[in-house]
Amino acid sequence: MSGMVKPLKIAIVIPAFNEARIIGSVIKNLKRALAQEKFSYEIIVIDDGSADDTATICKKEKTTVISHILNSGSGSATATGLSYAQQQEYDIAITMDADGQHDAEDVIGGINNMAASRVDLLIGSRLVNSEGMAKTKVIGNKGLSMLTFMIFGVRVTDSQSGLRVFSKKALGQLKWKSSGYEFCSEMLWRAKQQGLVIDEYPIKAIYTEYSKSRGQNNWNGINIIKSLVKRRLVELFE
Amino acid sequence: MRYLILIALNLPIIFIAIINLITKHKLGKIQKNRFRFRMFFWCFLLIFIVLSFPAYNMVYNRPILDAVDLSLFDIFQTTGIIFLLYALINQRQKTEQNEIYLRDLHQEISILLSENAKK
Repeated sequence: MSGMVKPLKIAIVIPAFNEARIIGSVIKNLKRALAQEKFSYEIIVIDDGSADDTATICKKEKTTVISHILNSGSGSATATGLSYAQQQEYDIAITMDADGQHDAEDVIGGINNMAASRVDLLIGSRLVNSEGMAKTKVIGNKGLSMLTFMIFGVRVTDSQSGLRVFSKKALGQLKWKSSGYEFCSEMLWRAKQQGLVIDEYPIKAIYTEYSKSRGQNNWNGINIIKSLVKRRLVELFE
Repeated sequence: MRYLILIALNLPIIFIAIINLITKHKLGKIQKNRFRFRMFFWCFLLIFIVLSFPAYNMVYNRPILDAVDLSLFDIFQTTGIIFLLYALINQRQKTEQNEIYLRDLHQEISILLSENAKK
């Protein structure tokens, strides 16, 4: 039938490293929430050289699994997932954490937000309403966001959020060099350099004992700051 | 005479660096801002070396700056530093390119292997 609008093709990219304990339930929750939606989607798990059964569990849940031969860091894993999404010509790609920190409803909210707007990079911000987040994490995240603004001139409330939505344009243009967690800030800088439109939307942060022990901590934040300053100095006039 | 040696040893290195830089720019291997910054850097060094003799004469009779005669050791040291700077800048660029190449390669291999595993 002519004039019929094709449903959106969505790629949900989940970088994972040794998340065998939780990844199964993360995928099940996601699929349950997405069953109500009209768009077609593919869940892509990037197994970043895990030593446990992360890849096996994801394959049992009938998701696409891309296994890194070597552990390369969350920046590289995210880049691999988004590169795959670009090659498969998805309309929208969304990244989320594998440790159960993100609510599936927020993932759907991000997709709907992106579909209705002209934004290229949409960031799920945990700091608009930081209820449930440990004070140390709030301070650490606010500190890194402030540094991201000072070093790269990009102002966002939550520069370290793993829940991000990418338009087709952003998928084609956005590339970064960092392979570790510092890619979160570098990505914003590269988006600004490419003239992409960046925006935020509020999300919940689900902190269990398990998810609190995963991801970044404030000591790792020092390494991130070092890497960001080094990256900026090396590319001072770019 | 020593200043002529300083200039004769260092100018070729700086000229090679500038020609290398212009070639990379013309072949599209270097971004505009990075080209401008490096060109400014090498030109600044060039002017510094060429004007080192008059600059030295200016400071020689000022007690507060207390400049001593340029020795042969100073000349070779300066030449060594400039040469090392040139080598370092080139090496850093090659290392960066290799890093990006390896990462992209790893990425593509991982994607290809997963697609083969699906089939």
